[in-house]
Amino acid sequence: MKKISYLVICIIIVIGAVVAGVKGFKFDMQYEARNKITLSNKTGIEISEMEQIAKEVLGDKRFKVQEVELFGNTVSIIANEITEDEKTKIVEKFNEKYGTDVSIDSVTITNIPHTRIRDIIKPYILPIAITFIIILVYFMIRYSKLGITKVCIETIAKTVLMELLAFSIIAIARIPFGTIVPPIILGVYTITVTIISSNFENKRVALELEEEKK
Amino acid sequence: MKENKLKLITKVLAILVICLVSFVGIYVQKGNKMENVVKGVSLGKDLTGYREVIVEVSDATKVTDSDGKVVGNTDNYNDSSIEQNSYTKTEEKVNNEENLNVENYKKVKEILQTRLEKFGVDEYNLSLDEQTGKIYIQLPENDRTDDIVSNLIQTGKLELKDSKDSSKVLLNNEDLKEVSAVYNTTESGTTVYLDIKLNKAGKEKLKDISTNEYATLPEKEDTESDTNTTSDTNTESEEDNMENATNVTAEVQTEGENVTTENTETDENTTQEESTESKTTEEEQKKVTLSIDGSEMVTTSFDEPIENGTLDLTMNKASKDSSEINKNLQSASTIAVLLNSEVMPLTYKVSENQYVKTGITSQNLKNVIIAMVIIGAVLLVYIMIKYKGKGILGAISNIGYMAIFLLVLRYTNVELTIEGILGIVISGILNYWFTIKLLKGEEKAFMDFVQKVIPILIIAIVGCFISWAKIASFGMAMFWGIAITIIYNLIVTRNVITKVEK
Repeated sequence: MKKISYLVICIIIVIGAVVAGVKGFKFDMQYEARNKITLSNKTGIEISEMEQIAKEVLGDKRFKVQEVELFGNTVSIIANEITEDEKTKIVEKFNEKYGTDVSIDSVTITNIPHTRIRDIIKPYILPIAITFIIILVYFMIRYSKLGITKVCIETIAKTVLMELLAFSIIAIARIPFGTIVPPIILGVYTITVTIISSNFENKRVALELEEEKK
Repeated sequence: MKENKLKLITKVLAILVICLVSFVGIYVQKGNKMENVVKGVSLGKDLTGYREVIVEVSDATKVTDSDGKVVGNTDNYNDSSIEQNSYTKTEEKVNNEENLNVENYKKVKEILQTRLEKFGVDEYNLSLDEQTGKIYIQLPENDRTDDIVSNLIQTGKLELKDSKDSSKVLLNNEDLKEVSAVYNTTESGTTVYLDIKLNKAGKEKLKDISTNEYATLPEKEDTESDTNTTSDTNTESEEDNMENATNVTAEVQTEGENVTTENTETDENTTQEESTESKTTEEEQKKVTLSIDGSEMVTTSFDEPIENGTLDLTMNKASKDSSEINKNLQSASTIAVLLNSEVMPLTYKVSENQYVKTGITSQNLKNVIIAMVIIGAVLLVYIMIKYKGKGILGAISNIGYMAIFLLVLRYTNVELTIEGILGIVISGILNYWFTIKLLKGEEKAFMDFVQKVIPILIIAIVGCFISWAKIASFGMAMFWGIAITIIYNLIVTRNVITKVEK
């Protein structure tokens, strides 16, 4: 059973690696390269209405409508690409909807560069590394009876395996890399070390009981 | 028996009261409305909103005064202010074409990253367009955001120059070791200083400057003692020549903002010159001018050689007003951050600066909370069915735990991010697991639980000390979660379950 589960995990990791290599990770709109236009009026803008307008013009393109500032009268529409033609149509529909006369030339398409994966996960690397080293040393001291090398290898192997599994599932399931992924990685790491600790503790207790019986 | 029952009922009622306070609140009439006096949850930038700033390479040209001295650029001055001040707009761009390359763009991004960290920004996102050099920055929105944005892209150039020949630069950023904002409190008040420490090469240069041509020349006629006279400071707004340690204001021109600092007499390592008719003539006495980002801070000569490689620039006169002291300390700290990071190889300007509300709406958050409550309810119903009477009390105890946990998070000012919510969920699961151990009647349940959660405790404690807001939120949520799990279950849950067993 254990061997089968390890085999399945390895297969998923390989598939994930292939998907990540070929297609790359999917990014959250907030982190990928995108175009943005900003529109405002004096009376107020409903996000749902702007989403409707954006859907009509941009069609199947991924887009997001965000409220800007606190006055409820400015929104940004972000999408992977907004052409001049699309911008013109959005402005025209906006003017039609809200009775404004925003000029097309006054609305510019801002290009926002993508955020690299290493910049997203960089703040997490050092804390995870520090805690992992401390936990490893703790395991090596506390569970020395189980064999220091065995404890060390098992801890490193299982933690790395679970993290790779998490990344593979993220790649395969096309979960957007951005706001949700770092907490997933952190959560997987935390739960993995807890399960490893629990297993080691149970083995240690079992070993002590055996020694007592002898 | 009756006594035990009474104690049990009291405990359960106490738990229910805490649940009411935590989940519903305490409403008190204030004016014409009822207000909840229980502190609310503090949410992080990914759950509220953030400041979005786009900075791009400036295409401005230099602006000079009537003497041909560069006073700024067309980003700082519009046509009407140029005309008003009799300045001239030149054709010389602030950024040379040859400097507009990927290497410099990347360097600028690194410098901005360093500055954001030194400004204490606990969460940010930077991305660079390598084609145009445009940089996109996301910052948390708080009281300091405007200040940080206005200072972030300053050049950070320090120069000690000959006061007459500005092309003769005697010291610059390459000679700096460290700059810090310090203060000294005396009877007359607190004075804030910019403590400029030079490296080995800079120390030697400063010693040479202060002993040779820029040393104060001996006066030809008898004058009064010069121990307490002011230095001449050329400022953009005023010039003062006064005796005996008075205040002179230097104005630091920054892009889009004027930061006013005050210069007073510096320490014994700078000299002063009395403005009396008996002084040595200005043509004979050579002076140096210290400028930061083109703004002249102080002009002086040196009474004594400076051998310790330290320049102390006074930012204000001694003051007892705490808000003024804090303001000056903030200004000095900002200048220190700019000087401690590298000089920007290019001049940038802010092209966009706006607050953006997060895509995670309150409805999304409510949906997540509802989902978590439903899952929690299912798990609690399971233990109620499996363990019957004990299970019901265990379930009530779990709800009480969550109520106390959320109250503690609110009153310890834990800023909740998505990672913080994850911490709450994991803590809830750990508490549930501990409750099941107690319901099973496991011996040494407490010790077993503590030993198994030590790795999580390590992660929580390390996380608490990390400055990155998301990890700190996770660390603090986990720390309080585990601490409350242990204490609460020892005092309340175990007691309650034991009473039922009796």
